[in-house]
Amino acid sequence: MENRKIRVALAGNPNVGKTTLFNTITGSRQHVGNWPGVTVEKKTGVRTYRGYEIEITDLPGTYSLTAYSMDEIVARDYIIEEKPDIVIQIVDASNLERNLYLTTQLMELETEMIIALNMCDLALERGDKLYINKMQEILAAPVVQTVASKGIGINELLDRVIEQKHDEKYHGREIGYGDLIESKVLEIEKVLLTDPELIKKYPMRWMSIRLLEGDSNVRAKIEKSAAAEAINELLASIDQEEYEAEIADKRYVAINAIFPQICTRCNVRLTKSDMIDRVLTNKYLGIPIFLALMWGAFELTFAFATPFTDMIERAFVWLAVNVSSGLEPEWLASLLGDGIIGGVGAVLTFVPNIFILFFLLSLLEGSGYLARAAFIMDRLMYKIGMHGKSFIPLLMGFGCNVPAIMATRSIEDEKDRLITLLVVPFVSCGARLPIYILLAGAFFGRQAGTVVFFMYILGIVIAVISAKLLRTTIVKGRPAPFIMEMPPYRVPTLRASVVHMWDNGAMYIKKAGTVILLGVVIIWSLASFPWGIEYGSEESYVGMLGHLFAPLLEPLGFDWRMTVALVFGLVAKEIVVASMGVLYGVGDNPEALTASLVADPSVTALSALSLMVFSLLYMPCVATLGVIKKETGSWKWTAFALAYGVAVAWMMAFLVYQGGRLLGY
Amino acid sequence: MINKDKMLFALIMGCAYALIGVVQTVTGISKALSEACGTVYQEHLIADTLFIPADIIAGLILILIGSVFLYGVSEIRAGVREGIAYVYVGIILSLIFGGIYVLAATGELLEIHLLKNAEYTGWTLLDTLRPEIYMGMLSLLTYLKWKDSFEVGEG
Amino acid sequence: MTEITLDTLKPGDLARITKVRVKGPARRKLFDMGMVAGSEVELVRKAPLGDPIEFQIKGYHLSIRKEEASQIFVQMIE
Repeated sequence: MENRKIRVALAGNPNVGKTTLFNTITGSRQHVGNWPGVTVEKKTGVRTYRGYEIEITDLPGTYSLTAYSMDEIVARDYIIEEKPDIVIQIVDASNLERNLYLTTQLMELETEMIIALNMCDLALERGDKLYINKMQEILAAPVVQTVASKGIGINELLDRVIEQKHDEKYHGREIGYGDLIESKVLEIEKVLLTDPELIKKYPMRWMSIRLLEGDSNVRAKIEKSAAAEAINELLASIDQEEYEAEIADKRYVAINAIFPQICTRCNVRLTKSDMIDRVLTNKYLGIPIFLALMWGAFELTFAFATPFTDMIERAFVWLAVNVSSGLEPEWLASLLGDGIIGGVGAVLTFVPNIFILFFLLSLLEGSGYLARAAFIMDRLMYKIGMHGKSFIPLLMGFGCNVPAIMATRSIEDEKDRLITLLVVPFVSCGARLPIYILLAGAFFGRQAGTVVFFMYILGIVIAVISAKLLRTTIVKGRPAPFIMEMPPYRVPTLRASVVHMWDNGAMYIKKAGTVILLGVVIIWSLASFPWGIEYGSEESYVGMLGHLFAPLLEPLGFDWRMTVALVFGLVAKEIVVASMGVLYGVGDNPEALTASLVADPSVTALSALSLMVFSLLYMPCVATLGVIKKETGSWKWTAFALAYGVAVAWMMAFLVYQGGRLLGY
Repeated sequence: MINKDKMLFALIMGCAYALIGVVQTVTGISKALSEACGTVYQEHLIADTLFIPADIIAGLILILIGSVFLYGVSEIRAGVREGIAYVYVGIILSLIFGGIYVLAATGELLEIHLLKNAEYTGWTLLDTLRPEIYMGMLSLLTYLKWKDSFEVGEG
Repeated sequence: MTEITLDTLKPGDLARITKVRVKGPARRKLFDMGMVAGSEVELVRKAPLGDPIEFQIKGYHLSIRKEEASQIFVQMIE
């Protein structure tokens, strides 16, 4: 029987419309996950076309296939090791020269290739002349003109995929690097050929070239081979840095030879995109405009999410009441009602915020503004040991830490990313505000606004100091170099933004959801047992925990009630307020709670301040811990985030409380 | 001379945004001050008739949009061809912030009609009208009229 | 002709790269992005705070920090 399955990989530079093309081909039949072992997103989708089942894998967008970033390693390993039937390279027709660089590298991977010349409309509009036939001839690969955003050329592309599948003959073509390099490549190749295992697995010429360029990832691949020793000996005598420059140079020489034959154009100097950039990166207006846009994004997030948040809240309250009322046995009713539905509901009320934040982030990314944001902020961020790209995730943290941590994915460098991810929890998210409002309102009267404002500032200061501290201790080194394309501005497509929002939002619900559920059940058990006591009361395990930890937290001015409330705050920080209500026996009546707090002799203005500081810093909520675990893939770093947070919070609250006492407050 | 039209438009928009922004910021500050001092905040007549809310940050943003327009005017006057870009970006910013408040108003509408939230009794559609929205409408009309002239041959 | 470094250019200046002295992984990345000897670069603009710097190279825009730019040698093109 004829094989009716075709495996296709999509490769291409970032910002060339790769994701749009992927979405257009696969429609809703796609699956988003991670590549094994790394947190690089993997998207696969299936399209049935003319009776064929075409399975498409969207490789990470890369400029090259060296081992500079995880994205590049993932992309090339997939092509080499999984050996897809066909690789489609999406090439930005309006930026051929740089896009062809990746083409020269894909050629060396000895795979069947089709070129999708995307965004042809833009190139043609500005007067470029493209010679498709010539291009097919020179690159020895079919070239299809597409406009992914309008769905043009998709069927033709799929036709070529099927044609290519039936074409048995391999259309290899490679570029020459000149005698000096070629002789070295041959020398290495000869040694590699002594190992039959390697021949079976890897393209030999590619491997030799990579080794000559000093690619440590490829070197690791041959480590176990019998040829390893001979190779190492050979490479030791070669200055790889020189060859690296030489090889890159030769690639561009080859492109410069090809390029004028396939494209001639009027060189448009000042494009519309460039004009916009003049304003948006203007010396005086650039930063204010950036801040204004960010503020607008938050305004919109909260204003538009409120009705949805309220709806979810009401739905869960209704659910909790209705499920638990008719249920036997009693403990099950309590587990479902107080524990799972209540806890999960509290976390899910953030979903509208998270969805909107992701939608806006995707708009920023799709429009090309995200790159400018990094460009504008890099100087400041570099000074505190971070990368320009870290700014947006930190800022998103003010809304909710969860999407903020997920947004760190845009940072390629592992260390930069780790630092950003670890300091995000210090940025005061929306859920912490109710705590400040309650305590500042109760104890600071007219100065309440100022106190709340300083809480936010304190969060930022701690985040900055932590970043510096981490840079000099655990995550040593300097921020990765800022080498970034400034893509032309485009009108983002609604479809792509909705898909992006949905993917990330769903991922939060699914993956973080499991951790949240676990956390919620644990806390419920602590609050409900030994069985028979009042939920979350002094006699429960959580109450005992409160008493147990009270001595530790006493120097901060907290009694056992506050300690218990803080334990509950693990689920979601705004629960701190609700559980204080329970502990003071006033339910969810804020006025009564304020009154009983003020009346309680063990709570002073100073200890209230200390409590605010502690709850700002002490530890990420369960949802945040869930995504930290997911994004770092390591329990070690998750535990570190937790322990570091608690330690910093304890120290700061100690300083505030004891310092305040020394000053006589 | 299409640039002359645009310059005039930018001048008017720039001044309008800057003025409204100043009023909005000042009322915002005076409201915050009167709250801090415990006195009752009196709405100003100008602010009220132009639907200007007391909002410091939003006011500063209006001033910023005004500055972008006026920066454009000064560039065009100085003979810099790219000055028109400031007018374009000014219009875009004006549309963005107009859009934000339209969506925020939609959120409030949903809150009232779907959830019947008691906080909003006595609320009318006019309550959501603010300078960002009507100025944004103005920009939208202009944008639709001039859309193509920004695309080709302008700079 | 005198050799200067990329970060000393002014907006609108056009130059040709003669030597890339950047070390480490940044070196490879710069090559991949087209910053190789022989390429023409134009300084487009500096960020509002003066760093990084945006260049036009190979028909697209690339921004890099002053630190890397100061290790890339160029010759001015009139």
